[in-house]
Amino acid sequence: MDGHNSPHPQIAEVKMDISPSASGAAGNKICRGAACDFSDSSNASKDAKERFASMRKLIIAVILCVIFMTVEVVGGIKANSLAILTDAAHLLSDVAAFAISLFSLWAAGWEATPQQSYGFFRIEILGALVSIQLIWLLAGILVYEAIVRLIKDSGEVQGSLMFAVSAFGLFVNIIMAVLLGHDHGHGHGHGHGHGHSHDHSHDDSDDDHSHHEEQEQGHVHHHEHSHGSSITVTTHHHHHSGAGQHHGAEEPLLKHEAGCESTQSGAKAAKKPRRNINVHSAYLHVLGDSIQSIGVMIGGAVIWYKPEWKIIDLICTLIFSVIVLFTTIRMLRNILEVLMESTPREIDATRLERGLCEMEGVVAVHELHIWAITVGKVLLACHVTITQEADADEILDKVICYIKTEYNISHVTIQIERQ
Amino acid sequence: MAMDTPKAKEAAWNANYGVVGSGDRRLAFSRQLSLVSSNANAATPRLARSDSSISMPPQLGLGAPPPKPKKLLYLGSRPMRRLALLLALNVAYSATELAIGLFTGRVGLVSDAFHLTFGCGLLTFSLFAMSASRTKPDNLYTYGYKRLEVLAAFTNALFLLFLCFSLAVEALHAFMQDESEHKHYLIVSAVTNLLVNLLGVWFFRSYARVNIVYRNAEDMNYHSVCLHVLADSIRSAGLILASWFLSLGVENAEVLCLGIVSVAVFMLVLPLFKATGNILLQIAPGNVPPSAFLKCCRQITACEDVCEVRQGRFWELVPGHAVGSLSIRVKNGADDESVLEYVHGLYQDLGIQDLSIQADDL
Repeated sequence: MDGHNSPHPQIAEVKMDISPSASGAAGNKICRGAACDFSDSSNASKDAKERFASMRKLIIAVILCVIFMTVEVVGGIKANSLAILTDAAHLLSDVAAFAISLFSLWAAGWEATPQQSYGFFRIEILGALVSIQLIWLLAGILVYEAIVRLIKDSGEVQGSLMFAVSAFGLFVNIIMAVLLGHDHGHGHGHGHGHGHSHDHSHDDSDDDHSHHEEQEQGHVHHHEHSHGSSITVTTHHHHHSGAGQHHGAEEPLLKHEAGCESTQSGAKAAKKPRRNINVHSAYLHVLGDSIQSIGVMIGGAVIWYKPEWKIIDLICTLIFSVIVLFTTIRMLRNILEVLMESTPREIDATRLERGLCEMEGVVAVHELHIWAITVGKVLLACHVTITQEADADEILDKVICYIKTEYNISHVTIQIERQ
Repeated sequence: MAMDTPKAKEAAWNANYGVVGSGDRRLAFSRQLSLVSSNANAATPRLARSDSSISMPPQLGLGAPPPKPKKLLYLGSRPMRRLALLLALNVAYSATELAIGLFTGRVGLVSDAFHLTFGCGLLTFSLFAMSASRTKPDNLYTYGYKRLEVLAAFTNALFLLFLCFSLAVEALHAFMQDESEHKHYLIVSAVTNLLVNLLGVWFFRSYARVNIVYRNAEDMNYHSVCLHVLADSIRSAGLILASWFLSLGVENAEVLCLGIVSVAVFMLVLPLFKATGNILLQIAPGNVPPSAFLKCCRQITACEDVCEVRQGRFWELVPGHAVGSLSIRVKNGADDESVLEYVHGLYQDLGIQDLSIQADDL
């Protein structure tokens, strides 16, 4: 077990190597390892793989961006054009956004310290918040530039140059959007037909073979990956696309996960391939840039054809800036919910409370707090009042089991009180 | 809130914190509470949150303090009203600046107006956070809405960092391009800006420090607003200085002044940014030293019924409200209730009210 060997067993991470066999009935309660679901061995390696895959994507994007930026800077200096240099500065902001995402990804893997007893997973969320604020700032700057263009009424602004530069910027941004957003298209394919044809065929084959569970032995190692890194899912899908319908071996890589849980309820939320929030925010950044490039292109074209209709440029920029802000709203809402320690959307707190109260021996549940440390890692704490005669241990076991199977929250702290 | 009661207007003195209310905060301190468990009842723990200049110590035998009359219409606490006034001034000022800039075609005025607009947006968010954080906790936000103030403070600090970065870029720009004449006609706008922001600093003068001990969520919000107006006034002062030096013939005055302003704002904002960031990152409560936690653990394990303590995790919702969860293993057949009470009492002395303890029998 990868021990968090903190030299002082203070407030967190008391190292405890409980072998699973020793736990027995109490195995439910005792989280295997010091920090439980946040970093036990299998989860840590899944997390690390996911993180490395995302980091690799971002690093490639950064390198591409820097190359394009140097091309633009050289071209701008040679042509002595301010517009090109401004666009190069815009690409620099892209690099900044990628750098923030990379840093957040890397920092989220730091080990927990006594001061940060939950680990550093929140850094992902804060990094995404900073990224989004950057997007807003850039939108404001672009609107300002459009207004300046309107004021400076002279032939300084060449529509053709503006058009060409923003077209190049759009091309660059589309490449990066494809690079960053590519995977999650495939990742979602298994559950929702995503418009990729081979994914559709896989849906069918998966349904056919959802019962062929015995072939899984040879493919045990797939399951570790299926939930986490979406890159491996893609390659496996491609690999199996040739094999016919009779290869039970190709088996429902992802459906098997579905088969393992007995209940088909809210636990599914965890199985949906989650795109990493930092990669998603970098993707939003690039998407916003391409939307604005389109706006600037339209403005440039307008100025090119009819230089007196400059107000259209400003209107266009305003409209497209608003569109960009709308794309960020959903992510901003998610971030805010996590930072405000609210109950995650995928968990129905009232149903949980009702389910707990219905258990025998349980009188009431109060001070129920469910919150997420980052998207996907949920914690729960509550006080359960039980009747005088009930067996505290047994009820504790049942409650923890219920929460884990129904809602897939594995880090829970339940305080049992008697009436 | 404490600032409103007339009693607290003159320097109220609280034995644990020194000066509270709107007195001189340089005399404020935060006394470490001893770990001796409160003799009487867990109902009156000595906590940062419940200690206020209004509540009377129980030994005086006066009973519970008289309940404050409930106001039906919440007009806003004094800081809120001041912030609303400041916001109105800023909005009016930036609107006029934008209008004048657009009509006369001066780019400098327009850029200044944009900058002010961003600042107004931030102040609006702070104001909104002040009013929304009073909402009671509900089903979705089980811990209430106080975190909004910390978020507003964080956003303010973040934008101030952006500002200082943009000032540095501007200094670099001026250094490379050497066009120094465009600062001159901004004097009038810079002076007005300076005056408005100095008014804001005066409103929040008790928070005009770099390092503050945060005792509750509002502290962070007010501090961030104060730093915001302070940074703006430093920037305006820097611009005025720069154009004065330029008229004196000093070369590269702009670069120098902008650079100094940028560095000053950065140093000003960094502690606030770190503090708010830490709270958002679920750091352990800052007012409790790690040795106190260790001591608590030792005291718990010293208890004969307890085998060991594991997974103690503590975090601060807002400064002054700490939450924790703990898991202990108890010997079979031991009395869970008394152990739980004991452990709760221990942590309440540290100031951690919301605690969930899971006792596993083995």
